[in-house]
Amino acid sequence: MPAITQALIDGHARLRVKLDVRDSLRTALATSGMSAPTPLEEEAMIDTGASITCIDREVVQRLGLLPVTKEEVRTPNGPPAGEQWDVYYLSLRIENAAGDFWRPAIRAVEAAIAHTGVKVLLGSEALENCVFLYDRRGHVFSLEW
Amino acid sequence: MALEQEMATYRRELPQLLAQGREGQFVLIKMDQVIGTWAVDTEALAEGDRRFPGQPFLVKQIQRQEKPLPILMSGIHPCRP
Repeated sequence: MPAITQALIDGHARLRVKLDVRDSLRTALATSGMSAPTPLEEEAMIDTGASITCIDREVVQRLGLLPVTKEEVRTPNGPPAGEQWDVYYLSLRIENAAGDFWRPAIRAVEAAIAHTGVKVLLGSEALENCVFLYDRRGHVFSLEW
Repeated sequence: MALEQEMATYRRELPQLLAQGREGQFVLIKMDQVIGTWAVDTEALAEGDRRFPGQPFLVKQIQRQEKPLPILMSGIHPCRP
């Protein structure tokens, strides 16, 4: 199985990812003769405490994403229960010589995450079927897919 | 507000969709029109992109009771328009 093993940064599992509009939208735009935005490369942090991926507003704006649905999100100190967050679908790629990790459409919410130091928090939904190993004592993590 | 009309359509159509036994499926809605339902979200999404490239539309899982998505990291808030 393809895998990456990297050093933890301040105890966090960070890695480079490529973000793009979802695959079906890229195809539809090309078929319609419309241009699609340039994919982005960003540093992401794996967040095993989240089911859904969080993206910074800058990612939403640079990819020109439109919300596709609304979902209630529960956070420790977040908005009151019942508030609906905009949910986007985008594609995610982690490049690897042994074979890229690629998801054509993952769900993400736009959230204020600047304080985390990254623009993408990868939730468990995006990493389903992966094996994530976190070795704090050894200061490394690995992700297998 | 994005998707307000589509969400209103969803809420209006929800009782009928549930009565038709479509709970768990994904409904595609454009403005006040239900386009159809699919078993998985990516199929509904692909149809929405094919019909309405670059335009807003709603893909929503049909649920009698909404289940909140957990984010345990502290300090995470939704962005405001």
